[in-house]
Amino acid sequence: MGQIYSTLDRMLKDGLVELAGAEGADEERKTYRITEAGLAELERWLARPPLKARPMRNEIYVRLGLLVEKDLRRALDLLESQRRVYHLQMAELTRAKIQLAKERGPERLRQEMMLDAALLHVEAELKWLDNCEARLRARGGMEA
Amino acid sequence: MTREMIRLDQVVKEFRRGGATVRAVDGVSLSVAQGEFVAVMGKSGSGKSTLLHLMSGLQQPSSGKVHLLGRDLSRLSDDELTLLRREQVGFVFQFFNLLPTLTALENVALPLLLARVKRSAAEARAREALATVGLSDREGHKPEELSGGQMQRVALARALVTDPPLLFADEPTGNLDSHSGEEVLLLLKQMQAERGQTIVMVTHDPKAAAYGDRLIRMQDGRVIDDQVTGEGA
Repeated sequence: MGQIYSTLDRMLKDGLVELAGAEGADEERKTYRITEAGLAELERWLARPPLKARPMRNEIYVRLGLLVEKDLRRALDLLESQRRVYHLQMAELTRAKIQLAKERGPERLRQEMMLDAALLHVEAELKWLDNCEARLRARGGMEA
Repeated sequence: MTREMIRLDQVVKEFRRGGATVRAVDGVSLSVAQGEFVAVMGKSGSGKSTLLHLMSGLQQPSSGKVHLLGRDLSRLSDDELTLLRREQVGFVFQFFNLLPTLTALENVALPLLLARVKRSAAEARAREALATVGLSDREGHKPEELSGGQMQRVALARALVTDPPLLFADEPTGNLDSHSGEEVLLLLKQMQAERGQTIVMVTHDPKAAAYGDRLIRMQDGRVIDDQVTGEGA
C-alpha cells in the first residue's frame, strides 16, 4: 500500500492528479482526480512501446552456465530435461487455447493474445536449447 | 484394455543412397492405442516421415514387424493392403494432394467412388464432410480457387469421408500460415474428441506438436523421447 501513496504523491507533485477533497464524514479517505495533463500523459503511455525486452531471469541460464564448466554431459542432460518441461508447458497452454476457442465474449481476444505470447516465448526457449546443444556438442567434439 | 491400433517391433528401414546404405529408421518399437493423438517430432532427416510411411503401410520395413489394427502388414498381399488402407486409414499431407481438375466436392467424394459407393450417396457424404470442416459454401470450387487453409480442410474432409478409425497427417500445417494451421489442428482435435479417431501427426513445429497428447521425438532414426503431454501428464 505504501508504494501506491508514494506514487500518488509524485503524480500530485507533477500535476498529473489533484486532490478532489474529502467527501462526507470519511476524512481518512483521500480522493484523487486525474488532470488534463494526467490524461495526456496516459494517452502517451498507452501508445509508447516498452523499451526493455523480457528480463533474462530463467534459472536454466545460471545452472547451464555453471555446468558447462564442470561437466558437458550433465549440461546436455539438463538441456534435455528442460526440453521435456517446455513441451509439457506448450501442451498445457495449447489446451487452454483450445478451451478458449469454444468461448465467446470480450475476454477471449485478450486471453488469446496472452496465450500466444506465452507459447511463442516457450518456443523461443526451445530453439535456444537447440542452439545451446549444437554449441556444446561442437565444443565437446561430439556428433549432433 | 483399449485397442492397440499400431504396433512396431524393432522396425528398421534402410535406403541405398549413392553407394552407401542409410538407416532412415533404426530399430523403433512402439505401440499406439485407440483414441490417442500422437505427435512425432524431429528435424528433417530424423526419420519421422519414413516412420509414418512404415506405420501406414505406404512403405515396407527392411526388417522388423508392423501391425496395423492387429494385422501383420508383411503377411498382406498388395490388394489386401490397399483395401485396409482405403477403409481404415485417412491421410493428410503437407501439400494437400488434391486433384486440380476436380471440385472440392468431387475431391472429397473420390475415396468413396474408388470404393464403388454410388455417386449420389458418395456426394451426400462428401457434402457432410465438407460441412464438418466448415466449407459447405466451397463445394463447387476447384483447388486453385481456394486458399491454402481451405485446401487443407478439403484434404481433411477427404481423409474423413470414409470415417476411418486411423488418421495419418504428415506436416499438415507445414505449408499454412499460423491462423489456418490452428484451424486445421483444432479440427484434428475435434475429430479425436467426437469420433474417437486415432491420430498420428508428423511435424517439425513444437506449436503443432502441442496439440497432441503424446509426443514422440526422433533423432537419427531413433526414438529419443516418448512423453505423455495430455491432460494429467
